[in-house]
Amino acid sequence: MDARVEDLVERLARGNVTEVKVVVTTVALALAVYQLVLITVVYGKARPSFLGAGPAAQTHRASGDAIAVLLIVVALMCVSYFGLEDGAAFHAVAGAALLAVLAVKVVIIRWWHAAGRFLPVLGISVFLLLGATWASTAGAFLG
Amino acid sequence: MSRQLIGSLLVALAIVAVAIVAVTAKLGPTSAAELDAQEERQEQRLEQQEERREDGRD
Repeated sequence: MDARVEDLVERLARGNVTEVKVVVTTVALALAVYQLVLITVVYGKARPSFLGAGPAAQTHRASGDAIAVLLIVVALMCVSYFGLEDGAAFHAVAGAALLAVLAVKVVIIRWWHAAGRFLPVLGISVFLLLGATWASTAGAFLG
Repeated sequence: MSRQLIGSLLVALAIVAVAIVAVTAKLGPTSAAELDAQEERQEQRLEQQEERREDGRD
């Protein structure tokens, strides 16, 4: 990757590229857990008196958009600053699969409504892949 | 409806804040900025000690 991009990432993180990546990924994971809670309300599996399916769906969408932006930022930081390091094959594969599944999910939500029945499976896949990607770097770093 | 929406968005913001605070607290002094600051403080202390020693000789 271009040295200028690497330099930009380092300057934006003020030298703490790994730490910033860990924080951003953890925020994405925490929001993903909240996404699971919200979607149970949207699908009517849980019916709390203080939150209806409509507001839960809107918050699920907003939070999902935020997660997508965070994951794209982290992916750019990973590729531009760290590259494909030895011993990080699992992390790279899990991260790439995460972005691919997330992209398919966004396409189905925005344009390909006929495939809407796959959204629950894709949502759970995104959550599991995010958990695996987080555990392979941030989890190990924090542990 | 809008109150529920605002409430659920505020919960999301609270989750973000808690995650940032928890992880930052855990990382603490391992951050590069903090290590640089520690190094700088140590250098300043050493310089001050040397200056005092030189003043003592004079």
